[in-house]
Amino acid sequence: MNATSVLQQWSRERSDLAAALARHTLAIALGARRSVSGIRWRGALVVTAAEALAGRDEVVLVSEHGETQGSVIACDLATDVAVLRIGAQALPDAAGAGATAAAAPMLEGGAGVVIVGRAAAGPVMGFGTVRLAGPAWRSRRGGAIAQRLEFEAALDGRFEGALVADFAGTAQAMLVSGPRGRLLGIPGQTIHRIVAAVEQHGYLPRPYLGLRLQGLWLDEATRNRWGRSSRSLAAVAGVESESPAEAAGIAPGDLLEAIDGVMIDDAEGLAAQLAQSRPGGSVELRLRRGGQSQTLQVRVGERRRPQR
Amino acid sequence: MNLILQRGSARLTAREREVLSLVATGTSNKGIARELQVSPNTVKFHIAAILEKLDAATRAEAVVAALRRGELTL
Repeated sequence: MNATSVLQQWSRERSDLAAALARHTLAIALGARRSVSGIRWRGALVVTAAEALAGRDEVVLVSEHGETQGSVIACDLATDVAVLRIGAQALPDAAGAGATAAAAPMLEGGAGVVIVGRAAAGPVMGFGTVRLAGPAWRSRRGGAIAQRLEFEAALDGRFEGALVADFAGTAQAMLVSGPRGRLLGIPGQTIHRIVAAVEQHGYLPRPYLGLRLQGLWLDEATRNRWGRSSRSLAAVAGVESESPAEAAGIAPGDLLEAIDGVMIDDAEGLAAQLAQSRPGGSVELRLRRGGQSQTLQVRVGERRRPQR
Repeated sequence: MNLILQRGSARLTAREREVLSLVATGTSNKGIARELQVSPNTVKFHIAAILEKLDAATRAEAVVAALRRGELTL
C-alpha cells in the first residue's frame, strides 16, 4: 500500500491533532465506574461541567502523568462552569488550553471540531461538526454565555467537560450536555471570565442586591400603554432587610423593567445580567411604581460566603 | 415586607430554601452541611426533596424554578 495515501495522511493528521490536545485533559472520577472530563485551563486551574460534580468539593483527577487531588473552588451552575485547583506538579506543561482560547476566532456553523476528553484508561477523542453557531445567549439556567454553540458528534458521558477545539488545534469551548440530549459548548470567552475572577479573588464573588422577583403576564393593552414588547415582567416580591435593594428604596410591588438599559423579563434575566456586574460597583434599575417609570442607582453588594 | 404569590402546592420549607440558596452560590454539599451544622447526608436528603418539589432534574433547574417562584434572593 502506498505510504502517502490520502486516507492515511488524513487519519494521521486527525490522530496527531487529538493527541496534541489530550495533554490538556484530565479525567475526574465520580464513582467506581463513572468519570467526566476536565480541561487544564491555566496554571493549576482545571475547568469542568459544574452540574456533573453534584456538590462534591474534593475529587480525584487523572492526567497523563497520573492521579492527583483537586479541590472545587468555584461552581457556577448558571454557566455550568466549575473551577478546580490541582497540585501544580500534576501537569508540568507550562500553559493550559486557555492560553490559545483568548485569541480564538469565533466558530462558524458547519465547521469541523475535535472533541477531546479523558477517562481513567486514557484520552477519549471524537470528531464532530458545529451544528449551530449563534450570537451571545442566556441559558435556561440564567447564565450569560458569549456564543451559542451546539455540536453534532457521537459522544458518551465521559466527554462531559471535554475540550472542543478547531482544526488549527485552538481551544474553543468546553462540552456540556444540554436539554433534549443536545451537545452544547461553553465558549472559551465565558470560561475565561469565570477563571479570571477566580484567579483574582481566590473564589467566585457573587453579586447581591437583596431582591426576590415573581413573574407577571401583561396583556396587549398594557404592553402598548407601557411601550413594552415583552409579555412577561418581573415584580419585586420581597426585599431583604439591610440589603443594597432596601438602601436604594426598592419596595415590594415595584415592577422591574430594565437593568443598565437591558430589558428584564424574569428573575433569570436579572440573574444573568447581574452575573456580569462586579460587587462594589453599581447598576441602574428602571422600575415602574404607581404607573410611573423611574430609575434608581443600586450599589451591587457581595453575597456572604459560607466559612470554608 | 413580603408579597407572596405561591404557584403550585409544593412549597419549600424554610430549611429547604436555606439549602437551595447555598446550592445557588455553588456551595458544596459539605460546605452546606458545615454552614447549617447538619450532616452531609441530611443535605443530600434536602436536595433530593427540593428537586422533587420543584420537578427539577438538576440543581441548576431547581435554582431557576425557585428564582421564578420568588423563593430565592438575587
